[in-house]
Amino acid sequence: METARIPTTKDETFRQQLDELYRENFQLMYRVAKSVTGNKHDAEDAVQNVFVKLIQGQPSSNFQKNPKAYLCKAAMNEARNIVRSCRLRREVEADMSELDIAADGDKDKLRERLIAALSELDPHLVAMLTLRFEQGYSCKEIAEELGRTNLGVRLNLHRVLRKLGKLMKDPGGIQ
Amino acid sequence: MKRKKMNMHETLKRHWPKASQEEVEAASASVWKRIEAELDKHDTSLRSLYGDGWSAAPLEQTEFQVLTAVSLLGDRGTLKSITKMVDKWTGREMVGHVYLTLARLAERELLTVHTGPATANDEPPRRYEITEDGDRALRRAKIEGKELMTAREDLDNGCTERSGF
Repeated sequence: METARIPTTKDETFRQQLDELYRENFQLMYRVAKSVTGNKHDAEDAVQNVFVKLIQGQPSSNFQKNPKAYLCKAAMNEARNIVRSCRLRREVEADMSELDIAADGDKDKLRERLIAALSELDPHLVAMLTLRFEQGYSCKEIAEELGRTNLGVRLNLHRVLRKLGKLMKDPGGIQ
Repeated sequence: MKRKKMNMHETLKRHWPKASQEEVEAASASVWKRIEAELDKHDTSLRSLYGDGWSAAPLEQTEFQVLTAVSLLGDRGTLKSITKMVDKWTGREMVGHVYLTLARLAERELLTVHTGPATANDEPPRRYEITEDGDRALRRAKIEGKELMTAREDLDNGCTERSGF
């Protein structure tokens, strides 16, 4: 009864949707992931894991509400899981050579502390920080990109900077 | 207090783990290759990232039976032949259900209706053929585990019209 079926364009729907989603969101996802992992290999793995999970099963309803925010959060969580796995801090230290930082010991420590602190923050806050400090976006642009209000972004950035400062000081202080 | 805030901004500006555009593009190409390899391992032909997760229409039980009959009969699908087949699967007379279901499926573009030449005494015969969307809907129903044989109580529960035939 079953006959060989010729694939049609409608069979490509999922692939096209995924491709579009990937092209629209990879950059931010990767940058967010890298801000947590501190190295490109783990950041790539984090983003890959997010898309593989989308292929393997239907995402939660949050995805439908705001795909960009969902993907950013998922990338951040994956990155965080990678960092928290067995490699954790040692891996971060080992991969420091990959970062374009000066060979200054204090600077190394500062960046290391920053990466460790970032992994403790909420994913959407890291996405905001990434857009602010890596892409140079204004609060208004961040609000538009992440579907939030301008005031909300300002408030979040203000709070997260204070929190980040505390987190970075915690292991012994940055000054 | 203000000075401290400036320091944090400065620290982040200086030490944020940046990625150059070239790096991002190279990473994007590399990761997409791996994702494509994963895609090849899965049959995603009926899936969608949005809506109910399917890119094929859902079918109710009677719709599944009627559409399967249309598909099996090919160009011999008339109200009479389709009803005969569906009657066998349900164990009861289904002509009313089949008639209404065919109209509904045609409206949803899951099948097409062709009218043959008129004869002297009878109305022109109508033939029903499955469309590509109809075929996809059938494939979805099969994956969902729908079966052709219906228990009588199932049919009674799912019946949307009174049996006055």
